[in-house]
Order: sequence, then structure tokens, then C-alpha cells
Amino acid sequence: MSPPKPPPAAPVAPPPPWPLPPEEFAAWVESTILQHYRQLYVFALSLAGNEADAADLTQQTAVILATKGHDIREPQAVKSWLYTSLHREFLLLRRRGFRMVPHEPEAACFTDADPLPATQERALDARTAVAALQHVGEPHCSVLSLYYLEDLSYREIADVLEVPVGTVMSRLSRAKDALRQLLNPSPA
Amino acid sequence: MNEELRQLLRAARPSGQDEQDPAVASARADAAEDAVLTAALEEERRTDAAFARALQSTTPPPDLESRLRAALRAAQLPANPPADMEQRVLSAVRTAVPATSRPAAFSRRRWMLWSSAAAAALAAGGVFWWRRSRPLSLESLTEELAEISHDGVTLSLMSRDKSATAAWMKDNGAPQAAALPAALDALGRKGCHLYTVAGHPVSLECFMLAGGAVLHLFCTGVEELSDPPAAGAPPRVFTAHGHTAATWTHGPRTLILLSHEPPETIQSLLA
Repeated sequence: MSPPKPPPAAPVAPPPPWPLPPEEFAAWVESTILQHYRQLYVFALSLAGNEADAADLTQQTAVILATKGHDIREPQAVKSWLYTSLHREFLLLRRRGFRMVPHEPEAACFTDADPLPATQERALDARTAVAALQHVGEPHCSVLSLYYLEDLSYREIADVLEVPVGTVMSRLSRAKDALRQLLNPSPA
Repeated sequence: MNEELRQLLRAARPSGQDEQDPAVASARADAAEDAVLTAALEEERRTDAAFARALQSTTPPPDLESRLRAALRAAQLPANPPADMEQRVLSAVRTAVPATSRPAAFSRRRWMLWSSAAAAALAAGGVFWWRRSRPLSLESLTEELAEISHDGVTLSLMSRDKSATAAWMKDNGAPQAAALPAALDALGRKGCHLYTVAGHPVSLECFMLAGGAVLHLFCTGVEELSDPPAAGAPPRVFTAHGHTAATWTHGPRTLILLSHEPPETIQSLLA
């Protein structure tokens, strides 16, 4: 069976001359955030497990771009920079004891006491997907979330998570197995 | 096929964006010789595509875009007026009046031009200084803070640690109350920030109730207000600008607490 055809490449605008003058920088920051915030929010939601903290993480990442974006060496790689910033902010909060509390009731629906027959598949919607990622936990959650957002290649995911490419591939492989077991548990 | 190549193919995105990656293309060619492996990878690709569609269908809160725009505007405004404002005004006045090479006899026209330029430049700076030095009314400050609270606050420090937020506020010259009502002080923190509202420094400390609801506690010096609440008077709880608000003064600080919780909840926190 032949592999899927790659989607047509989106036209790439030429990178702006860098660094930008202040009056253009603000506009560039805003347009960049508006272009990427939806995907960033989903990544944040998969990490934090609730909408309020996910929105805060997304907003914090936007502020970081506004205040530190001048330091970016390659503006064409800003997408990876944003995901990296968000991931670092999440880790920083976790180190500070900032426990993200999942508020989604579906997070509790994946329990060992609630196995489904192997032939039955759970209806997959956004909430179930996020809850499943929360349930598999770290280190699977972040690599799965980035993979399924399809916004970054496996090499770019390695940059965001600041691990070697080989680690991303092996981690993703184990994470997919864990996710599959969660969504379609094998019969006992 | 070795495990590393198998993992590489499992790391290729289900919609095909990685098929032109030379490493993926090479592994794909190797896998084509193994019909069982190819079928398993295709089965996994279909499952992955379904999960990706589900995850990507997540929609952010409808107000997130406006929150982000407001946060970006706040992040890119200077927090305080430049220290050399006076010099800038004077410099603007001087450049408005071109130097002449010959001794200038008194010229009524030149004098009018000079004084008009000076007045305009000083008016611009003066408005700024006037606004900065003129105390705010408690009502107008509450209204502006309600708008900030509604649009989505910025947190320069996100931390649950009470001592960390206190240290940040001290290091950044943010006004803080010496003490808070016990029940409020016992709540978990979320972070803090320092705003400048109409030229007046106002700190923000975020608190969290057990159910996840957020309270915004703003603090400023009594000298920044034309009508601060009387020191020692109990907090006044009321509804305004779409929020439950509470205001009180403790020592040299006036505090404004904003939330969407019922007034009874806020009363119990401030008792």
C-alpha cells in the first residue's frame, strides 16, 4: 500500500529583514501569535489538563515572545521557538510546585476498572483525545500531543522537547503503544 | 527491518508531511518489502489520523484571542514614563525654533512662533504629568481594573508560592498590603504583576479558590486615590462593572478585590 501523498506545500513568505524596527516588531509579534495560538493552546491543554491553565500558559508564551522575541536568531523558526517556550514555562511551573489540576470530567473515564471490550472503540472527540493524553501522563503526553498536532516534524519535536531525535522516536513508539492500550485495551 | 527504522516510520506524521524526508523515504522503501509490516503501519496510520483529527478539533475559549491581543498590548507598553521626559520636552521646544545666523532683532512674529511651539510641547508633556500626578477616584480605578480583569490579566510571575510572589513584588516596587484578611491570605496563589493604570502603579496578586475560580487582588497607595476608603473601616462589598468588588484600606494601601464569585463568598473571605 503506497504511503499517503504529502499535502501541497504552503507558500512560504520570505522572512522579514531581522531584527525588525520596533514599530514593525509589535505587528510581527501579533500576527505570529494569531497564526499559532490555536495549536499552542491545544498543546498547553494537553499538558495542563484544564482550559484555564492552558489559556494562561498560551498567554504567557505570547508575552514571552513580545518581551524576548528580539533574541530569536532565526525568525523563520519562530513556530518551534513558541512551542519550546510554552513547554519550558510548563516545566518551570511544575518545578515551582504549580500542580495543574485537570478539570475535565472525562479525565476520570480511563480507569483500569472500566475496560471496554476489545471490539468496541471509544468515540473519539476533542475532549476524549485530551483526556487520553492526560491519562497516559508524562513523558508520553508531550511527545504525543506534538505528534498529533502535526505542526512539527519529529526533528522539530526533538528541538522543542530538548532531547535527541532518537529519544523522540523511541519515546513516541512507547507512547503510541500506551495510548493504544488505553483506548482499546486488550482483553484479559 | 531493524527497530530504529520501524520507530522512524511510526514517527512520520499521519497526513504525510514527512514523506519527503530522505530518512523517512528510505525507511519506507525498505518497509515495502515486508507486507505484514506495511499493513500494520498503514493500520496505525489510519488510527493516528483519526486521533489527530480529534485533537486538532479542540477549540480554544472564544475570548482567548482578545485576551492575547490585550496581553500583547500591555507587554509592549512602557510601565513607567521615561525619566528624561523634561529634557525631551525642552529639546522639542529648542528644535521647533530654528537658530539664525545673524543677530536677531526682536521680532513679534518670531516670538509668537517660539511661544506657540513651547506651549504645544509643554502642553503635551504637561497633560502627561497632569494625568500622572492627579489622583484617581476609587470608582474610575475600579472600572479600569474591571476591564483588565475582564480582558485577561498578565502575570509577570506565575507561582503558587506566597513568599515568591511577595519577594517579586518587593523587588519590583509593587505596592503590597502589610497584611490581608486571614481567609483570603490562606488561599492558594497563582502569580502577580505590576500594572501602571493612568500613570499610577497598581499591583495584582491572583488567588485561587478550591474549585479553580480566580480572584484578582489589586493594590495601590492611598496617595494615588482622591477618595480612598477610610483606614480601619470594614471592606465594602458591592457589584460593579460585571464583577463582585470589595474595597478597603489597610495602612497606606488601598485594596480592590475583583471576582465573579457571589458577594457572600467574598464577604466570608474578608471577615
